[in-house]
Amino acid sequence: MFDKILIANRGEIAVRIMRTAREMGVRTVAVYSTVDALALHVLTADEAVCLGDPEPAQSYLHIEKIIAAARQTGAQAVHPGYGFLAENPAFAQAVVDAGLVFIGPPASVMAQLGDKTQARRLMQTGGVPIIPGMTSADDDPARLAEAAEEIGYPLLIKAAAGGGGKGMRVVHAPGELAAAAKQAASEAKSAFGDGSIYLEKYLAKPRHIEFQILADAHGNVVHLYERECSIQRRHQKIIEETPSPALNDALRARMGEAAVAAAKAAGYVNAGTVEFLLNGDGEFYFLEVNTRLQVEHPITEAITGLDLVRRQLNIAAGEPLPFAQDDIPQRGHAIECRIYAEDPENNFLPSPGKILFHREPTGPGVRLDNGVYTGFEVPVQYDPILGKLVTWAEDRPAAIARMTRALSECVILGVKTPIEYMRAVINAPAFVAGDTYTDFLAEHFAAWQPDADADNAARLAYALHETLAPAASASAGETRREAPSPWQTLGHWHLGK
Amino acid sequence: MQYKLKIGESIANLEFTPAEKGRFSARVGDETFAGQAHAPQPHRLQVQLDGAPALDVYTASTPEGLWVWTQGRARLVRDAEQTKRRTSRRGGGGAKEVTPPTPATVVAVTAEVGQRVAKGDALVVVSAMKMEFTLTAPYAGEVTAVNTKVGEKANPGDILVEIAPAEEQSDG
Repeated sequence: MFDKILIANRGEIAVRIMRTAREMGVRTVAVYSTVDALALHVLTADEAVCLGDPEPAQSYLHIEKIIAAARQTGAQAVHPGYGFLAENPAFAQAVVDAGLVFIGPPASVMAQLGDKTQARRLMQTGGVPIIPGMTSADDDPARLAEAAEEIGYPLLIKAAAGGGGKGMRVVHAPGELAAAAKQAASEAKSAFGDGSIYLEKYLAKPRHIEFQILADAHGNVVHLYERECSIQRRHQKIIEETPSPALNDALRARMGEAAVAAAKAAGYVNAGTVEFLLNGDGEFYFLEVNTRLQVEHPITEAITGLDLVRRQLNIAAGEPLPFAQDDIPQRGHAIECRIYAEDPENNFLPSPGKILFHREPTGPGVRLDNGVYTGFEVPVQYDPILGKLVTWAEDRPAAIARMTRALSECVILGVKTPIEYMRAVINAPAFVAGDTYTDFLAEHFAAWQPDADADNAARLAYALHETLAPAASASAGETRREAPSPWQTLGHWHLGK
Repeated sequence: MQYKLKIGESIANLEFTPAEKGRFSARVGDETFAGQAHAPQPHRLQVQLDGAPALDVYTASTPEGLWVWTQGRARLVRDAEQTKRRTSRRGGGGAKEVTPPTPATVVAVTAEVGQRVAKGDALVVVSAMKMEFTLTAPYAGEVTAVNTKVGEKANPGDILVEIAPAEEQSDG
C-alpha cells in the first residue's frame, strides 16, 4: 500500500477520500487555491500545497502544478475525486509519466470511453445493448437525414464529446432536423472545442439506472448493484437511491451482467459506473461509462457495506479483488440528497456566500459527507456542492422517513439550499410510489414554492430572538475579542522548546 | 411590541407580548401564538407552543435580517421598514440595472464606453459556481461607464455598466 497520496480535488469529496486514507494508515496531501486556504479539505489533510489563483485553470485544473505538488511532498499516488481532472486522460497519463500511480482507470481506457460514439461501438461489439442510432459522428445534412429516417422520430442529437446536456437537442419532425443539427454542432463546438454530433432514438420518460462496477488489474470484474438517479435538474442528479424501485431480481441480474460485460469490453480497471436508460417496458440501453468515483457512491457503500475508496486504493496498489460477485451483499435501502448552495425557488440559481451557522444531522443510519463548516465562505468559482446527505434503513419507506428526519436536522443558514425542496420531493406521492423518471422534477416540481404556512412561525422566531438571544449571542463570540486569548498574548513562546 | 416583517415579498405585522419566565403571546394576521421559549445555546431557541410539539429553532443574524430555521425550513426574515429605507437609498428598481443575479466573477466584458447599445445586447458575462450568465442592456442607449473588468468579483447591486437612455422614439 502507498504511504502517502495526493488528492487532486477540493470540498466534500477530498475530505471523504482523506478519511478512508487515514483509516488505512495512508498519509494525505491536499491541494488548494488561494480562496480555499481555510477549506475543510485543507484542514483535514496531513499537509497541503497551494496551487495558486482561484480560477480552476490556475489551480485544480493545472496538471503541471498538481504533479509538482505530488513530487514535492513525496506522494506516490494521485486520487482525482470527481469533476475537475477526474476524467481527463491527459492528466491520468501525466501522473503515470511522472512515475506516480493514478487511482483510476488507464488513460487509454478513459480516452476511449470519453468519446461517446467510440464508446457506443465498443459496447455494441461487447454485446451491450445501445440506444438505436448512429455509431459515428457525421455533419453531412443528407447523411443525417438518411440516418434519421432509419432511427425514426422523435430523436435526439448528441455531441460526441458531450456531457451535461450541452449540444443536445430533441427533434420531433424531419423539418426541424437541419436547423437543430447546426445549432447543436455549434453549441458542442463552443462547449467542448469539438462540434461532432450524432443521432440517437429519443426515449420518452426513461429512468436513469447505473451500475457500480469494480475491476482489478487481474481481469476480475464485479458489479455492486444499481443506483437509480432519475431525480435530476438541468440534467444533473440531485437525489439518488438504491435499490431502484423499478428493478426486480431478474432485470437486476441482466443489467448487472451487461455492466460487467461493458467493463470487460473496455478493458476497465478500478471503480467505475456504467449508466443505462431503462424504459417502461423493461428494455435498457447503454448510456455511458463514468470513469471515476461518483458523487452518489455512498448509497452503494451503505447497502453493500463496502468502502469504495478503500477498494480503489487496493486496486491501484495492484491487489486482486478479495471477493467474487456472489459474495457481495445487498441489504436495506439507501437514499442520497445532494446539498447544493443554490436557490430552488429561483431556477436553482447558485447561492455562494458565508455559512453563518451549520448544524450537521446525525443519528442512526445518517451519513453526511460534508465540505463546509460554520464560518466558511463558499467560493463563487467552483461547483456549488456543499455536502451529500445519505440515509440507510431496512426498507424504502423507512429510508424516506429517515431522510425526512435528517433533512429537518440539517441546519444551514447564510446560503440558500434545496433542503426544504428535497424534503417535499421525497414525500411527494409519485416519489413515494417509486414512479420516478428523468423529467420527474420538471413535471411535478416546476412551480414549487416554499411552504408559506411556515412563515408566521419564522416571524414569531424573529421576535423571540430579539427578546431572548442577545445574552446568548454575546456569550457566543461577539465579545470574544475583548478578552485576549492565550494565542494573542503568548508572543513567540513555543510549546516544548 | 410591533414588528413589520418581510419574508421574500410577503409582509405581515406581528404583535408580540412578552410575559414572565419566557412566556409570550403573539398575533400575526389571524394566527395567534402563545407559549414559552428559551435560548439553550447560541443560535438556538426552543419554543414550546401551548398544546403543540416543541419547535427547535436556529437563528443567524446578518445585516439584511435574521435567518431562521425551523423544521427543515430556512427563512430570511427582514424588518420591512429597514428594507424599504435601504432600497430607496440605493435608488431602487434593480431590474433596470446591469448587475449580476448572484455573487459572481466577471468572465467577459464586451461593453465599451461610448458604445451605442440596443435593448437586450450582451454587455458582460459573469460566472457563478460553474454557471454562466449574460447580462444584457435593459434599455437602448449609450454606454457611459464600464465599472468592471475580467476576473473581478461582482455582487448583486453592483452596477457593472452604466447606460444613458436613448431618446424615447428609438424604443420604437
